[in-house]
Amino acid sequence: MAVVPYDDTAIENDDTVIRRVSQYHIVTDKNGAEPRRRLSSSAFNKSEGPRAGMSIDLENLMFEDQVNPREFVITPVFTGAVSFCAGNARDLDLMIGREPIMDDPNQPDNPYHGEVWRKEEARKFTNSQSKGLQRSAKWYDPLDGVDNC
Amino acid sequence: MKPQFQTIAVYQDEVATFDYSEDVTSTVWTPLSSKPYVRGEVPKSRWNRELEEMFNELTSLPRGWDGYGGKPLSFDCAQFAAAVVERLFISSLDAPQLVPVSDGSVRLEWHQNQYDIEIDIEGPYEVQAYRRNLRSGYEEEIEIETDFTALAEWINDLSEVDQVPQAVGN
Repeated sequence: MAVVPYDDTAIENDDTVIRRVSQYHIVTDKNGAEPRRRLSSSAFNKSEGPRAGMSIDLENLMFEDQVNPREFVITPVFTGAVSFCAGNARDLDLMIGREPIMDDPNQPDNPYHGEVWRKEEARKFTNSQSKGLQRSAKWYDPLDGVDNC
Repeated sequence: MKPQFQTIAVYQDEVATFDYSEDVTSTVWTPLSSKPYVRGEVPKSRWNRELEEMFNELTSLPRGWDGYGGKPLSFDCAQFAAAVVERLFISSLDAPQLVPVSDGSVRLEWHQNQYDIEIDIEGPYEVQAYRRNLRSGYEEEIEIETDFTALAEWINDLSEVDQVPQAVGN
């Protein structure tokens, strides 16, 4: 059962939050001196459902279990990953909490899974929130030749 | 060569019940509250011909394509997005880039000519669009259900910037 959205104060503002990104999130930006490949801000949006959030992985939890975060987040589906601080999300009026995934037929188990939620029910993050997360994000496991924003 | 045809909703209050297939030579539309009738066909634009393979790919994505529980692009969203693409087509512009969203919707994006335009197709007749003019910094967002006039103007603006002569440097 999905967790009711909440802000977990045990996740400190400086804690690293990881967001996996896919090759499908890459766009070509022709504004600027040269065309470049970068991530779309649509990579920073929530899942379906008014109370659903944006999936993330919590780095500290992996360290506690002596799991290599870079290896964990790019398996089983190969993706890249970006990271930002929990405080970056809170500065955008978002909440962060743990939501371990266990026995979900649609996803492999992930005890380090968390969510970023809006404080109110909504279909998507606001543009400001998505683009704010995009600007805060840095490559954690980069996709070759792709700028993070 | 067999022509590439698709049907397009002329009346925006209809619910599409057609198959998005190149083998369709006539299509029966079932509007919400009237008798079925046959639509005529129109050729696909260059944009939709170029995007067809990507639409097929995005609707076939496996669950979890985004590394989490991401859903493939839904068929009704894909069909409506293709209709929007058709509506907005301008021959002098590149086709939009298609970006799937984890909730099964799709975004159309252009980043060129000092504009960013992002059109979120959340479902049939559920569209949110964003535009930023990089020269002025001006941003705007609109929600659209059936009237795509404003969006068509945005795309027209995007195409017109290309035709502005570049200033010669001193």
